Amino acid sequence: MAVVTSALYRGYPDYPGVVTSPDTNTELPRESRVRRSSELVIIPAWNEQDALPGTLTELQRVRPDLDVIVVSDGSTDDTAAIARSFGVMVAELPFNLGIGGALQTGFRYAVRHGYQRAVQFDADGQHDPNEIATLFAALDAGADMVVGTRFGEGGTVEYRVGPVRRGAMNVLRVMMNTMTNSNFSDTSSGFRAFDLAVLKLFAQTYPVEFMDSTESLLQVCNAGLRAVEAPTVIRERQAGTPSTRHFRLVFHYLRLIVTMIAQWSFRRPPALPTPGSDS
Amino acid sequence: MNIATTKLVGDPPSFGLSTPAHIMVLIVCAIAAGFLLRLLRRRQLRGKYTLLWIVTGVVVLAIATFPGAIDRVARSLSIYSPPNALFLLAIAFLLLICVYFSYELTRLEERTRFLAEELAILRGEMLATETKPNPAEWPVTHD
Repeated sequence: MAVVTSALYRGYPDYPGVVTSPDTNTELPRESRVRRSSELVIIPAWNEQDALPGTLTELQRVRPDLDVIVVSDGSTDDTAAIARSFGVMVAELPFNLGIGGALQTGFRYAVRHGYQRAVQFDADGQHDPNEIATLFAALDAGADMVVGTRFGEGGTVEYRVGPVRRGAMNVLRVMMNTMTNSNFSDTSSGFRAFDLAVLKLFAQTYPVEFMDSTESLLQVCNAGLRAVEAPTVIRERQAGTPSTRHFRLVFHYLRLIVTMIAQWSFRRPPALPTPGSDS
Repeated sequence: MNIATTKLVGDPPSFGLSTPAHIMVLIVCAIAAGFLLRLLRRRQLRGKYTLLWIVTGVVVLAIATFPGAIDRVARSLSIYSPPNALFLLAIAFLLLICVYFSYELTRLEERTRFLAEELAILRGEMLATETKPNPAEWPVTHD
């Protein structure tokens, strides 16, 4: 079979018929701390070699107590090698699966290795490691999943979006809140924390298509688990380009609405009905 | 391909094929069957799909041989023109096949994704353990 693109299977030099550049950095540093904590930071990264060093440096400085897994989602640049040089666990997907697949890799790793909690953290420096404590505090308060929101009171509105996108997000938000009988101010945030129950749920099934966060929120609520939001500071992106092209966005927006309605119409009653209360 | 032998006035026309058209259909069906068997023999087509298309071919062949059947189907469905009944059934069948293939695709994508994820985790774990002097120092709890 002819080589379509050698970058496609980068990191998999044994893949038949594919010539890849030798993986320059597969050695972990001496003080490697792949596994030490019971809490894991999951960083999905697709071609984030420019932003990743800054993000990992800050994360390891602010929260040295947390384990980190970087899931390189079929990156064609040096994302995986750079992540490895920081001594963190690196899972390299052989091809691009999209954010959902990258995240599920992290969830599955977390469950398999007995982590009790996990945080989803952006590779591009949007999220502040100091805010991880805010998310964990909400988990301590009894939530199964915490969404770090952009627009909540206390959260800084440093993050600006256009009017169309804002309107579209509002429609989603209203739909979501109606379906789950809750009150989320932002359902599309990628800064989230999960407890073991949610990790186990997501390790089994996680929405694999674009705009996964809204869909997974609905999934958690439908499973009878408790999702809350916590206002957090979301910064401007440090590097990289936002993964949003208009045509694709519209398609996934419509797809999401159909999926949500389908999921909602087949929702199960809460897993454990409280005895004695019929309300 | 099919030639109505009567004029489209008054009663629903009978639907039949001329002899050359019959022969053409037979030849096309034979070629298609040969092609499918070739694909099957080379393992480029799963048995169940070959069967699906062979059965489809047999049905097409049966309709070509006994065009009267379509007439009867059309009359029972109150469709004025028999070819329209044929098109209706054919399109419905093809749509069903498309939905079935979408289902199969989804299942395949799901499996591929699962494999890719597992591969990424295993490879990462392998690289992480390789550089450790003693793997026992790396506490891994497997469920």
